[in-house]
Amino acid sequence: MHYSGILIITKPNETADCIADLKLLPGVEVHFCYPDSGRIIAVQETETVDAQEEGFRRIQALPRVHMAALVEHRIDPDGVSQNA
Amino acid sequence: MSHHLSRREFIKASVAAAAAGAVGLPVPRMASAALPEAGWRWDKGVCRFCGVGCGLQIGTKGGRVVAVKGDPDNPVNRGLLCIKGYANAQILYGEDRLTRPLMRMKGGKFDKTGEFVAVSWEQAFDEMERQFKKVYGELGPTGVGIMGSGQYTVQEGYAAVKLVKAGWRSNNIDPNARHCMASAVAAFMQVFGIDEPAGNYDDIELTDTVVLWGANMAEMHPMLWARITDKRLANDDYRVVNITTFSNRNSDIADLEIVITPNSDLALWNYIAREIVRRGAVDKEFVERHCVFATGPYDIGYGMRATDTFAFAAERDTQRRERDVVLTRAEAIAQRRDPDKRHRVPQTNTSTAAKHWLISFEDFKKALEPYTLDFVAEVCKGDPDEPLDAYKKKLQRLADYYADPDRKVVSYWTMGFNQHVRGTWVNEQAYMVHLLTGKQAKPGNGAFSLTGQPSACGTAREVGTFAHRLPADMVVANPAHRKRSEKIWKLPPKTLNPKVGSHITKMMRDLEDGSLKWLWIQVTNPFQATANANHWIKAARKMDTFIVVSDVYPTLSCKVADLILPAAMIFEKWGAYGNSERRTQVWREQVPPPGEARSDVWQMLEFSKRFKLKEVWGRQKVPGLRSKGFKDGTLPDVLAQARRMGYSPDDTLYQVLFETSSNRRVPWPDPVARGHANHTVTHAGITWFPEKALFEEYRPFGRDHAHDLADFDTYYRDDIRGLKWPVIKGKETHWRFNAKYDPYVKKGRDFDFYGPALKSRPRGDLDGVTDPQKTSLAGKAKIFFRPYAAPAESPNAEYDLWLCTGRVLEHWHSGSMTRRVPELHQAMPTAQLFIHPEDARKRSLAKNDLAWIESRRGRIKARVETGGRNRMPRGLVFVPWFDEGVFINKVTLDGTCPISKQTDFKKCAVKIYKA
Repeated sequence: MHYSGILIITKPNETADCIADLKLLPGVEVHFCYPDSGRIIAVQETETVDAQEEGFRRIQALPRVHMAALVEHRIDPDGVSQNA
Repeated sequence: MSHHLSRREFIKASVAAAAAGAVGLPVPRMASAALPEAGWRWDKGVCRFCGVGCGLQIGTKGGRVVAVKGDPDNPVNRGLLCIKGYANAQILYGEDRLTRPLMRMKGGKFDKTGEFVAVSWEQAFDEMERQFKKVYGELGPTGVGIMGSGQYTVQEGYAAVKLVKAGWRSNNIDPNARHCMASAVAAFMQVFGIDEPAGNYDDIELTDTVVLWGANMAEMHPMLWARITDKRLANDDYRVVNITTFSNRNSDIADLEIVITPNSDLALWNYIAREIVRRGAVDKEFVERHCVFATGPYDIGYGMRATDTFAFAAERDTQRRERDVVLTRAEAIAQRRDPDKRHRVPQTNTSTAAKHWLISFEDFKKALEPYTLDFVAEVCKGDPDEPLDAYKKKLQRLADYYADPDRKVVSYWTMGFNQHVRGTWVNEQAYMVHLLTGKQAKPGNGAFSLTGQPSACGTAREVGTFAHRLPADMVVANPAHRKRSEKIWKLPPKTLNPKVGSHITKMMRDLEDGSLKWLWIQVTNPFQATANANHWIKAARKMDTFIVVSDVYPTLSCKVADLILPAAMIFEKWGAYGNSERRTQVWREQVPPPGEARSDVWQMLEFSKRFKLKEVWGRQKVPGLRSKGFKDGTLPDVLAQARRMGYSPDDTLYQVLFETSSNRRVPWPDPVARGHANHTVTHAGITWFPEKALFEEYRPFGRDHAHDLADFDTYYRDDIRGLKWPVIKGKETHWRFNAKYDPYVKKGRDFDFYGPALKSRPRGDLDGVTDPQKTSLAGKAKIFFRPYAAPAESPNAEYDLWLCTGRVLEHWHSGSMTRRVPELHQAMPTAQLFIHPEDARKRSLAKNDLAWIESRRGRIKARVETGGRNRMPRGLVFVPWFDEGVFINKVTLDGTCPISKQTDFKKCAVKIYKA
């Protein structure tokens, strides 16, 4: 399994809406948010690296996302898919 | 199930906590417990995908990279990575990694028409040697060459330069970085007398205004863009301007978007300068104390071949412009000529394009006079659908930003400037405006050229893997520089060849005309990356050429090669890179290379064992060599002097250049390794540390020469995340030429543009030299006047659209690496043709249709995209160049800036029709 920690920057007054958008994305969980600065930390979990990248692009394309950056990418070779 | 879920939840919580912590966000105590990473080893490294130089932490386990994270302690990226961050681990593990040497064979021996067969390294080197010596005997040092790269590590580039220049006595080594930032280099030398930017990335946070000129930073340098975005969102007074030939992602956050026509940036800079002068916004004290004014010839051609002998019939009209140009109306106005008359101008300065002389401020002012708002707006307006009045207001706002003495401004550019038939001029113009306003070499103020490749600065430029260069900004044509290099390298006098070698595009032309027949390509893919490619692919397959490609994956260049050598990738070897802000960063070997893949350093060391001094240091013919102290066309025999220096004619280049007595005193193993391996050492069977020895041997070139580097071990310290040179007494230099930060500034001066090159010039006026007596300009920078010039080729009735090429975020350069990473490939599997919907409709094309893109040089097919990330104005189309299947360089023109020799991939004329 692949996990990435992603920093998202939105406008402070759009933080709640941006979180709502993120929560609709498959494999994405919002872990921390900092409304004063419009910063959100999300974790994306996917079975493949392909899906990680695809998901990252989806996050980048959200209308309220001004910047999304990868912070950490971990590969868990022992991980088992939630669907397994 | 519950076990897996709890493990998953724990990993996710850990990743979230680590991510937040890495970017300095507070993390609840409960979440801050990190997942134990049993058996993982973390070490610092550098991203290998662009010139920003983001710091990484690389996690390995069991000899594989299992995690990558942005290094929170690295000031470049502060813990963040762009999408290419995913690729740093994955890139090592593509299924088609090259793991054995492959040679074209028939009947058990090399045959140019044969199929690739796996061979041993011994067989590979045997044939390389045989072919090299055949060509060297026939053509001498100019018949052989190496195409290198801004992806070379510092040590690889240094070994290559030494092998080619000191060993083979050839100057035919040139990097793909020539295509990337040679224009920036040329302008730095012309303006400041020394290469590379004064400022650093901290200018992003310290400025009030960021102006992007031909730099799609949102896609190409995302981590710098992240810093700009962050600053813009937090600061209502911060301004971002995007100057571009088409609307791109930068514009999503830009306060001002200015779409310009190709090449009209030259006119726009002059408008800004004119406004600064007109409004009295010149920083007179700064200019008088630190600057002079200069200009040069306008009739410099377009860097094409002087002859049309090799041109396709359709190319000949463009080719003719290398010799004769009829000025456009705009060019006539820009050069203060009567626009109603026809001006046919023979191009008499094609080989002396860089010459320049000093002029007065009054002449400078006079030269700017034609660049009125009305004239420049007409020339520049790139979107035919934009109202002219609104456009003029934008230009005025831009001038306001630069002219405002209370506003700090940083100008950034990349390929839009550098890949330009007047690339050196337009770089010089950026300095023109920043110097006029005193907004240079100060925190938050400066003109800053960004590079595209991870070590375009650290290796290609600083080590000097160019046809004209030696390390630390020195050049082969300068006798004092050759002498200094010969001393450091312990070479007999006159070993080094004073004749500038062939730049990368010229090496292709040399292959075509038979003046170069043996070529070794390292860490690059030039047969995809060189414009007008139909010529070069045909040339490479000529029966008397021999092409060697060292690479990690099969590329287009591998397909046209005769021998393919499998190379080690970034974290499979030791190395150092230098980024765009002069920061030198290092990494250790993390994992072993696969199969028989070997580092480029190992390959060069091993191949150098094949040459005895008597084979290369005897008398050599060099056609066209004319230099004081040398017999025309000849390099002297230096063997007698070599004997006096203690060398034997039977010594090998390996012994003389690499396994020297001082290098043997740099032992392996070394404490800095901390248990990390070195496959170069292992496979060479040596007990010295080549990467450290080469780095330490290279350092003296820059010492006391304003390029000082720290010692090798310092860069590996846990508390160091690279250092910006010059590094003096262990301290890096944040802003050069500024007494507050740069120890090279002479005492008593606040600013000192101390670069030594080209600092003695004659005087003249706008038409030429009037007083040949040279004046010393020590400590000063030059403010150049350069006129607007039309591109080498413009649309006409037949080829009616502009074509611009470039990169996209997901792919880096030719895609030979990123295309192996499945997730990157899926994002954009084939390059598209971005075209305005109206232009598409006129040609009966709709989104996803297949269209032909045809120029005078060739044609290719691509899928039509009328929307998407790049929004084209009518009249201009864009095609990314990463895709071998959409081989756009068959279409592009190989015109170059005549000064920098950098190709203009950004503009040529094409027609488009349904396939």
